[in-house]
Amino acid sequence: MPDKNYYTIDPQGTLTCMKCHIPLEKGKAKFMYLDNGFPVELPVCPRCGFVYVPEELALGKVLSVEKALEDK
Amino acid sequence: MTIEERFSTHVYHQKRMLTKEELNARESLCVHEQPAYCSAACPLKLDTKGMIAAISAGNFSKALTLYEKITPFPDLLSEGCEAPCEKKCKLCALKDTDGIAIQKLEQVVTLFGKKSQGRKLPRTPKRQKTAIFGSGLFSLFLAGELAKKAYPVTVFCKEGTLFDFLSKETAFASNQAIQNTLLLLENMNIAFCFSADIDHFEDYRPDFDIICTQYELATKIYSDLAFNSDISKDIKEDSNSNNDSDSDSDSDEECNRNNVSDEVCSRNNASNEVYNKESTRKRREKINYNSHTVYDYTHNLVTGKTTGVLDAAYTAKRAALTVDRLAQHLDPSNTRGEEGAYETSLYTDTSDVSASSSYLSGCRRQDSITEELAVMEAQRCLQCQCDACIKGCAYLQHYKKFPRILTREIYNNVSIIMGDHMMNKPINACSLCGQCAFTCPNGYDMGEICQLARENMVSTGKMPLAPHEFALMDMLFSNNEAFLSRKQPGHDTCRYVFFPGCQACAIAPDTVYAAYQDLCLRLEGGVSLMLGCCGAIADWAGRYEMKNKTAAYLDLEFEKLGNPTVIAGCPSCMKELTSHRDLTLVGIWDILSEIGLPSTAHGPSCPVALHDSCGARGNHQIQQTIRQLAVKLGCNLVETPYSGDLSPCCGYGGLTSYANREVAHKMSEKCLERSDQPYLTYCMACRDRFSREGRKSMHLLELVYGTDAGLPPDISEKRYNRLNLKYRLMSEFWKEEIPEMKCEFQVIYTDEALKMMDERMILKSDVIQVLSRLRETQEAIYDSKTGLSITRTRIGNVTFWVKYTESPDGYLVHSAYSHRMNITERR
Repeated sequence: MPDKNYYTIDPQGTLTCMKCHIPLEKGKAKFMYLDNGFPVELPVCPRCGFVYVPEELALGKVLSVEKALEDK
Repeated sequence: MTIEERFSTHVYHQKRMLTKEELNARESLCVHEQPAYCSAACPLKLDTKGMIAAISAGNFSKALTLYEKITPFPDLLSEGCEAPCEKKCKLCALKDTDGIAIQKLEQVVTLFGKKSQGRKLPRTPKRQKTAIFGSGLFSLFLAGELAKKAYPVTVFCKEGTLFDFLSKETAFASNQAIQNTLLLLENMNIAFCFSADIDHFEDYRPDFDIICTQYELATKIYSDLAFNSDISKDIKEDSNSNNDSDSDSDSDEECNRNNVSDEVCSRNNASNEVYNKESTRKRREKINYNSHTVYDYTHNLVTGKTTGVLDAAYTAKRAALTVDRLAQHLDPSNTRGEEGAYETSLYTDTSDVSASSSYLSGCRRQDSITEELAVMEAQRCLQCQCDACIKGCAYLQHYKKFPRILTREIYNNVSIIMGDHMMNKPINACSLCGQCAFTCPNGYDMGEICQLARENMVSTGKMPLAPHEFALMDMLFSNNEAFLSRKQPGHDTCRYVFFPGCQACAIAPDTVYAAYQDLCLRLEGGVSLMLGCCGAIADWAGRYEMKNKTAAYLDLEFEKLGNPTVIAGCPSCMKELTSHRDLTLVGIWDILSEIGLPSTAHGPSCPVALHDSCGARGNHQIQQTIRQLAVKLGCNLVETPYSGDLSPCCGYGGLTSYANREVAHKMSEKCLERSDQPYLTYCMACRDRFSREGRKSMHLLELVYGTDAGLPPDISEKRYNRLNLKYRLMSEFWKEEIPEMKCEFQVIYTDEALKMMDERMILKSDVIQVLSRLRETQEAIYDSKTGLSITRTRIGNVTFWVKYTESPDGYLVHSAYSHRMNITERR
């Protein structure tokens, strides 16, 4: 059974890890907040594991989920 | 330095915010929902306000629907009603102003209103047959009321025709009203037995379940039915009596004496037992009418004694309810609800109502009242309601709720164990300024409710940190890195300590510097200095543990200085320090008032509007001293509405500007709409909020010391100003060496980035921490689409992201953003 992902974003080959000098790939990540976890797929460096959260995501979906959880 | 975030959303602790009694006591203070004066004065409970509102909207049919609810015969009642409502109209109390001509409007409604053409739901006819003996208004209205309740009614009367029956006691009515009532009677399920021998009504008893008679008729036959003739005595005892009298008593006489409401119930089967069960519903102060219905258990008879048209309608309504109770085999004295007229506890402010005369005075019904005149008359109606608190408060206006409802919703929000807490935002958006406690005629304090809720949420682990974290961190910054406590150079003991407050140091550091310099120079006995936060921020956030810790810390520091008299620079600090510390406190305004203004003091050239601080609410001494100082400065003061104790909050109080920017903005606007002039404040936070809204504003101390603080600083500058002031004072007053505030690398920000960071509450120090971490780990990515590098670091409970380009000397920051969620890689 495939893993559940709440959100998926593809790096589309424009992002490079400056530490490892390799392109970021679509990888598995997890958002945790107030003891709640959300599996997502985000651009991740396959070597060092740097997970990139784009600005639109942080100020959009992530913020709204944060606010919803804060009122739980 | 971090503050612990709440552990989880799965927290099921619960703590009661208020007991039910405490909640009810608070809720009962809010009179917003109380009936209007006119409605309360109507024993039939006409929704007068609703009816007049419908008329003013030109909807006469809707108005008629409301009027028909209280009586089966609107034409008769509207012409004969004594209209006690008119005397209670709030406009009557105003000079040169007529009350609303309610009775004439009722007549207009019956004239112009169209009866609803829709088919009503058919009512199942009741089985119990009722008979009414005698004629007159009581019989007529009772027949109508019973027919409305779907009882088969038979009216026995001496008269020979329906017209004759109707004409009895209706001399006041116009022909049109009589004709309309005749038409209504014909369409009602009422049977008439004309020319009946009503003196022997008992002969008809076998055919009916319930017998109702005219009072005079009943007393003619049953002398023991005689109602206590001294009605006024009844009323007097009525209002004095608190006798619940559930216990049975022995005689009719006693029953009448104990008559707490205006219902008499006597039960006399075999044992001549009499009882009276009334009065538990005496919640409101009743206005008594000479209205008495009698149900006599001995003779199984319902009757009523009436004087006047309204009284007949009201007594008939009560008698119909008695019949209804009897038909259901219930005690007629029980569960009757609230009957009759009463004094409403509503409060309506009429201070801004201009005088007006009635448009209908002199108009006679059929002749000259037009729809237009009626609408104009209805539009004079104040639509009485209490909105004293809402008028002055941007917070209540934003949520469009009055305190009783808001309190109930907040109480429920705090009480629920699981699910969405929909009221978290309103709880954290209140400025806790206490304005409502002064504007409300009963002193309802919404701030107290929100403060209790915040405290409760923190103690049960349900308060999110996000709304208050920045402010709390700011407080920790003030009492750590930026904290300073020193005795005046050359003094072992000092008589005073100057406590300017964290906002003054952040917004106008030069003013604080000049003030301290002046105090040291002109006050005898030495003046220590303490730069820090009084703890109001923790108090507002409902974090009492933190507040107490801050209090204990400051206490210790004051003790180290020898517990001198504290000279507070801000009324809110003064209030906070007064509330939980045994300190001698004065305001800097008191000192300046005593020692006079320095040579630097100079008032503004234009008139200024004085904005009172929430911290000085209820403290007339502060308010007066400030005004006197302003006048001494040469200020041309413009008094504004809502000044003094009624002053609204600028949006900083209660941490509103951190928790809910939208509401804080509305609060500032509310303050600024009072005058077009520049504002003079004596709280630095107010000065800052108004400047941010684009209005010229100045703190009193800026004028005293001739130090214009200029444009409002951003959040990073506020921290820098505090730290810089501390180091400047340390260096120049105490000749101490100060640590170098230099970054290893250069960071430049684009204008857009600075604006963005201020909006997103990201400090320059946060960005520097992220970039320092980058230099250690080299963890960053490059976006070829934008040409920007992006890095991140988690600081405390927040992950900060910085978009930058590198230069030989350092970094150029293009953007910064943050999120509270923690992100990890999933393997």
